[in-house]
Amino acid sequence: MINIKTNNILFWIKNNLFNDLKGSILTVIGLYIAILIFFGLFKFIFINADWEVVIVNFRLLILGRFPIGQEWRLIPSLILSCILIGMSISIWSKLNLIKIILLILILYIIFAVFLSGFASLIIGIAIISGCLAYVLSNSYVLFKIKLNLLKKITIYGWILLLPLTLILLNINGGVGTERWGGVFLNIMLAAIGISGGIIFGPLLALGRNSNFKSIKYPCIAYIEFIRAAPLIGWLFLARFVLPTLLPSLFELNKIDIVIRAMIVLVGFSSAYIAEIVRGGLQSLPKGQREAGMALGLNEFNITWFIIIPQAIRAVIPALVSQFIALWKDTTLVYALSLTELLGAANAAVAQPDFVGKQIEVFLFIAVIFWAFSYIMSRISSKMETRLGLGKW
Amino acid sequence: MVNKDNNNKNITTNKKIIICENVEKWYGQFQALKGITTSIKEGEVVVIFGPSGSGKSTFIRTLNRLEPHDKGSIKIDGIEINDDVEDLEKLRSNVGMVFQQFNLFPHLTVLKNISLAPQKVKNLSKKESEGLAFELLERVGIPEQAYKFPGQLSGGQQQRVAIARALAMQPKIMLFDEPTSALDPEMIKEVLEVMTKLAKSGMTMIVVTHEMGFGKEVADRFIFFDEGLIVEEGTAKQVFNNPKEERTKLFLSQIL
Repeated sequence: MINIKTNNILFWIKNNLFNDLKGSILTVIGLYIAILIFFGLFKFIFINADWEVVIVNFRLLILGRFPIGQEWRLIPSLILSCILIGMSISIWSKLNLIKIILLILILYIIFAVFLSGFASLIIGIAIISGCLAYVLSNSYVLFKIKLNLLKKITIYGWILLLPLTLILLNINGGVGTERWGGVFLNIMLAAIGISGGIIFGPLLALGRNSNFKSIKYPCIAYIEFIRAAPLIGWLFLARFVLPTLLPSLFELNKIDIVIRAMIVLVGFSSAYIAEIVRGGLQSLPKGQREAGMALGLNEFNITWFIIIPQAIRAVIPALVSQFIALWKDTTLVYALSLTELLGAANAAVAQPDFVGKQIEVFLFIAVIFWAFSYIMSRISSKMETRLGLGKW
Repeated sequence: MVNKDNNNKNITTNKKIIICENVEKWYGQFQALKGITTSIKEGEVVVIFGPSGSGKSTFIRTLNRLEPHDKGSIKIDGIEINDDVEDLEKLRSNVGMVFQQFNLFPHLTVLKNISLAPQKVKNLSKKESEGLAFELLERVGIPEQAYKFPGQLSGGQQQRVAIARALAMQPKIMLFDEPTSALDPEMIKEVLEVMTKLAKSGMTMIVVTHEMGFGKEVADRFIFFDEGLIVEEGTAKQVFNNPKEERTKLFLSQIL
């Protein structure tokens, strides 16, 4: 007797890929192209490519011109984020054997090809603590901790990660933002842009829906004004115009360019997030507010406990795609002559030793951008199912 | 005082808890309420019926100011309801409301749906409010559903949770706005049973419904609404057996 599982697969292949002549021809052509691309890529990555340009410039790509000897400031955040990733995966996701093998394979390639010395030690420690956190929080029952508490710890950990990083970057002399660079700068810009947007966006959305005209119209004006120009326009404004516009009081006109970029990103993402959240507010049935009113809840409690959670839940896919867009838009600060990831890549290929090595470098940064975006979109789809979207 | 022949509950006092005088309400050019004058005693159960668009729902929604009325006066428990009401939230927590569409909070568990308002309005602790919630769930017969989300319950169960949620504020008056109209027939009974129990416990209730069997069992008084006016009111015997008005007769002949 034939194994049922193989039988099913064969059946599926026959039905979906070879059900008639036209389908079969298309399948063969598609398969041929896929194999061509796959082998081309495989051959390039493992045989033709010369990864030395990435290996030599690894520090530049990751940290830009971050002062040597100051890396310790980032180590706690790196380890903490690995721990939080481990805990989050164990709480909200499930790793099967295939995923674990794939993950190990990817990490092995990164370590074998790109990392060496001190960096490999630190990243190794971070990854190991992440794995430990995964294993430990998988067996949380043994420590008599409730799952809810574990979830709370993880969420607070994520919230505290950014402030912690900022504090560590500023204590004891600190590292000026002008020395931030590489993918680290992109991460910081995106984290601040997204966090600021999450805080101010819903407030703007509520303001735009407000009955008070003195709140409503400024919010509308702000949102429409910000959305009327592209992000790069605002960044240029921050670079060239803002210093002359701002008063010299408190040296406001001498604010560092990175901080100006952060302000622009927060302002920009707030406006877009506000409109997304407003869509969510409008999707709620009127009865929700009425039910809250009938119970005697005040305006604040209705908004905070009933309206906002549902409005945001309804727009998670659009929100996350805004976050992903913002993450990739952080490369635009390249226009402010900052060495973020793309700037660092361009600096790397400009070195005389590595003329003509663009493909290696850009492939490397493409994978980094893809990895972060992919993680965000996975979180989004996890949140959608977790929060039970659609099963009201 | 109205004497009830079909249950042994008695209206304990003669205190009028709701007094409405000439209540009018417009939606633009359309006048939804054309001068409603009536009063409701403490412990009384009143059933309001009438054709759709007759202003029944609008009327009971003016009683907790979900719809502000434009003219006339409404007094609840001695307090005049208008824009000057000092503590609208407190007034509303004294007047529970159950909606046709349940309006449960879909993102909260049944337990949290019920315990949210006591926590935020009455400042009960989490433990106290959840204890209260379990008590009420017991009363409406679904304590085992406490940790589920509204979307996982049947319509009848959802409406029973909505009743428990309104009761959690320990209101003096309960308003029911067509509580069984959105339910499948087999679920209507379970909701009406809960409401019957509540009526017999002495709660002041105003119910907009066409469930006349339920009405005949528990209502002290029926009010027939048409075109924004009270056409006729009285006990079951008066309204069903000897309706005075032609319009009442016509409507009753259509629904009975």
